Amino acid sequence: MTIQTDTDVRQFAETAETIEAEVGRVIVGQRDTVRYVVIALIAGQHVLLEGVPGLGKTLLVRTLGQALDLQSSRVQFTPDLMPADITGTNVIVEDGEGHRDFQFQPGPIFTNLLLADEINRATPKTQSALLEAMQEKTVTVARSTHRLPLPFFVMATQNPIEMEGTYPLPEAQLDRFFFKLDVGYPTTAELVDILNRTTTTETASPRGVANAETLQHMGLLARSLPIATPVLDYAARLTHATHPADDAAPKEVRDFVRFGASPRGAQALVLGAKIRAALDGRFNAAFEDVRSMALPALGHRIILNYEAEAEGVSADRILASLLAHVPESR
Amino acid sequence: MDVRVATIRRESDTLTTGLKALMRAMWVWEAAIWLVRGLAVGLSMAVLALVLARVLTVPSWTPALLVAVGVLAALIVASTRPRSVSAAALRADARLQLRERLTTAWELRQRGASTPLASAQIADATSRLARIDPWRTFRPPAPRLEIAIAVGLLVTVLALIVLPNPHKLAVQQQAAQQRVIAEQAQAVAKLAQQIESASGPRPTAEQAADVQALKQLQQQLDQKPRSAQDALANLTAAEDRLRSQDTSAAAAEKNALDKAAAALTAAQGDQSLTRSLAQSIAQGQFQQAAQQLQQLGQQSQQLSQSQRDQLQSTLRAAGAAAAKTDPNLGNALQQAANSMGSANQPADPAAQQQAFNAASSALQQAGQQVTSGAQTQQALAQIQDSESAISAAQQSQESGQSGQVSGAPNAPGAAQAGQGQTQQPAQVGAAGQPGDQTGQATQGQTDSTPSAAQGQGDQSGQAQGSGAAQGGQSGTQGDGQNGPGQAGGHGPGGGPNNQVYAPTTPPGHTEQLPTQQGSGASQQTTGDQLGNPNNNQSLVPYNQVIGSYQQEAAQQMDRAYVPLDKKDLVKNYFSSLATGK
Repeated sequence: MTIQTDTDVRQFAETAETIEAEVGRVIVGQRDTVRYVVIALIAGQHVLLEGVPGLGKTLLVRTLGQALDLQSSRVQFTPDLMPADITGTNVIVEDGEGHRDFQFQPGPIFTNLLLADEINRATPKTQSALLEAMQEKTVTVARSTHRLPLPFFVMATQNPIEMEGTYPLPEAQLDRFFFKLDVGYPTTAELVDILNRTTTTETASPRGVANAETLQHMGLLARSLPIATPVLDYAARLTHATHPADDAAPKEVRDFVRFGASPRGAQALVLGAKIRAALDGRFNAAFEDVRSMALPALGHRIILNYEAEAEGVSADRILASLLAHVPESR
Repeated sequence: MDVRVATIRRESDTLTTGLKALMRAMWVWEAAIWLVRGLAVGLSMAVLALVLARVLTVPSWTPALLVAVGVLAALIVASTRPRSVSAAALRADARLQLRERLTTAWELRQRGASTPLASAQIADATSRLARIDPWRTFRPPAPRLEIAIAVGLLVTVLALIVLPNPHKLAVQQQAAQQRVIAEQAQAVAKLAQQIESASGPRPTAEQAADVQALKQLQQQLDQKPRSAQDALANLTAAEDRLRSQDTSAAAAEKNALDKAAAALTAAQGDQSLTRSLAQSIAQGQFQQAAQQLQQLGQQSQQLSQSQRDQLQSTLRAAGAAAAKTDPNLGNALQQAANSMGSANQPADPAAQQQAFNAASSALQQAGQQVTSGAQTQQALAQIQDSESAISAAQQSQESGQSGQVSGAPNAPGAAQAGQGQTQQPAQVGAAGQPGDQTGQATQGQTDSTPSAAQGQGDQSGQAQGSGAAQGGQSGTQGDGQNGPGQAGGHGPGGGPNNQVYAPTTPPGHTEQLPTQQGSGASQQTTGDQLGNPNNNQSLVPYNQVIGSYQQEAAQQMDRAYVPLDKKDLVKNYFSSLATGK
C-alpha cells in the first residue's frame, strides 16, 4: 500500500460517508450504530451488537455486506450448535475412480462478514471455536489450519433480556470484540419510516460502494494518522481509571467495578479515535474522539461486581462518571 | 520529497512563530488577571495590617509592603503559566476547540515528522492558527469579582489610613511624655552640675546631699521606658529627700546676713566704707563681701579717727544685728569692731587684721551656708517644675485618650483636650488662682529656675510681678541686676509666685536669695514686711506651700486609711495643683 496523502484523507471521509449513506437507504436511524460498525470494519475488528430482537441487527449486517461488496454469511447460534457447524469439518469424499478420502468442508465461518446471531445461546465450546477464528483469523480442524478469507469480520448479536438457557460470553471472548454496541429502539419518526419501507412492494437494495481492498486501505490510512501525546496519555489514563485499584479511579469505579479494561480497550480507544478523526476529515485524533469511543470500546471490558448488579448500576453510568472525573490534560 | 520537506519546514516555522505569539498573549492576559488577584490579596493583607495597627504597633510601611508582596506573588504565579509552547498549544486547542490540531502539529514539528500526513496536519494547524488574533482571542473577560473586591479593599485601606488611629496617637503621646521626662532629666542633670561647680572643691554637706539627690533623680528619670507616674513618684521622693534636709541653719544665716546688711546700709554718716560691703551681702556675693571686709581691716589703718569710729560703730551694729540668729558671725563682727580700738587705746594692727580676717571668714562661712540653702531651694524648684511638666504631659495623654474613648476623635473639644495644657489654666482659674502662665510652664521651667528668687522678690516688692517672674523670665533677670524690687511685673501673672491663703505659714518671714549668676540678690518675702499691700499675713507664694501640702498629702495617704484606687486620685489632684503653679 502506498503512502497516504491529504487527498486520501478526504477520500476516506467521502467513502465512509457513501457507505453510511448506502446503509442508510436500508436501515432507518441507528446512525451512531452504523458509524461505530463502519469504524470497527475499517479497523478490521469485530463488533458485538446487543439489542432485543427485531431492531434490524441482521439486516444491518447483511446490508453492510452488500454495500461493502463483501461475502457474508449468517449463523444462528443455538445450544446444540457444534463447533464443526461453524468451522466446517472433514468429510469422506469419493472421487471418480472410487477412491475415498477425507476432505475439509468449510463451514459458514469462511466468509468476509460473519453474522453470529444470538451468540450467547451457543455452548462455551462452540463460542471458543469462534474465539480462535476471531483472533487468529484461522481455523484448525483435525490438525490442519485453514486461513480465513480477509477481511474477516464477526458481527455477533445477543439478546439482553432472554437470559434463560444462555451462556454469557466469557470475559476473554468479550475482550476480543472491538466494540459492543447497544442497538436502541427507533424513534416514532424512524419507526414510521421503517413501516413505509418495509410494508410496500418496493424494497431498497444497497449498491456496493467499497470493497475489501478499500477497507484495508482506509484502515492503514487511519493507523497512520498522528495523535498527540496528551491525547494518548488521556486514553491511557482513562483506561487505567477503570481499575478500582487505580488512584485516579472515581468512586463509582471503586464501588462497582470488579475488573477494569484491558490494554485492548486502550487500543480500541485510540484506533477508534483515529478513524473517527479521519471520518471527520481531520489529520489528527483529538480528546473528543477518544471520549466518543469510550462507551463502545470500554463498556463491555469493565466487569461489574455484585453491588453494581444489585443496585442496577450499568457500565454506561460508570463510564459517564469516568469521563467526567478524568481530566483531559494533566 | 525535498519540496515537501521544505514546505514542512516553512510551515513549522510559521507554526512556531504563531504559537509563541499565542503564548505571549496568554501570559500577558493571565498576568493581568493575576495582578488584579494579587492586588486584592495584598490589599486584604493591608487591611488586616491596618486593623492590627489599631491595637498593636505596626510599622507604617507594612501595608504598602504587603500590597507589593501580593502583586509580586501574583506576577510570579503568572510567570509560571503557561510553562511551554506545547502547554500553550494545548490550552489554545481547548479554548478554540481546535481538536488538538496545534498540539499535534507542535509535536510533529518537534519530532521532525515529514510524512505527507504530518505535512498536511501541520499545514492544517498553521492555517487555523493564521486566523487567530491572539490578543483578541485570548483576552479574558474582565475579572469583575476580583476588581470589585480590590476596589472595595482599596476604599477600606484609604478609610483606615484617613481615620485617626487611637493606638498611634497614644504611642505618639507616650513618646512625647518620654521626651518631656528626658528633658527634665537633662535639666536636673544640668542643675546638679551647676550646683557641683558652684560648690567648689569643698562643698557643704547640704550641697553634697543636693547633688547626690539630683544625680540619683536624673538616673531614675533616664531609665527607660518609664511611665509618667513612675517619674512623678521619683520626683516626689527626691523632693521629699531635699525637704528633709535641715535648712534652718541656712535660714538663720540668711537672716543674720540680711540683718547685718541692713545694719551696714542703715549706718549714719559716711557710708562709703560699708556701702559696697552691704551691697555685696545683699546681692549674695558673699566671697566678695568677705574680701571687702578683709580689705576694710587693712584700710582701717589709713582712716581718720572719725571714720574709724564710724566704721567701728557700724560693725558693732551689724554684729549686734547678726548675733541674734548667728552668734558666731555677730561675735566676729563685734570682735572686728573691738579690734579697731579707740582714741584712747590705739589698735594693734596685727590683732585688728586677725579679727577682720576672722570676721571675713565667718561671713564667708555664713554666705556658703546661705548659698547652700538657696541651691536646695533651687533644686526643689527644678523638681517642682519637672513635676509640672510631666504632669502636664501625662494629663495631655490622658485627656487625649479620653477624647478618643469618647468616640469623637475629630471633635474640636477632643483636640483641645489633647493639648492638655491649654485646658489647665481654666482649671486653675476656677480654683481662684490667676493662672494664665501655666501653658508656658514647661517652656519657662529650666531657664526661669535661676531667676525664680528674683521674681519672688519683685512680687514682694511691688506686689504685682508674680506672673512676670515666671512668664517673662529674661526681663526679670535683667531687672534683678538692678536690685531688688525693680523687676517689672505685667498683669496678674500666674505660676509659682501666685499668692495663696496658707494659715499655717508664719507671718513676716523675709528671705534674701542670691541669683545663681550672682548678678543681684532678690528678696523673697511673705507677709507685709516689705510693703506688700496684701496685708493678710497668711497669703504666701503658691510654690512655697504646694510642696509641703503635697508632702502632707503623701503622709496622710500613708497614715490614714485611703482606698488604694483613691490614692492616685489624691496624688493626681496635687500633681495638677503643682502643674498649675
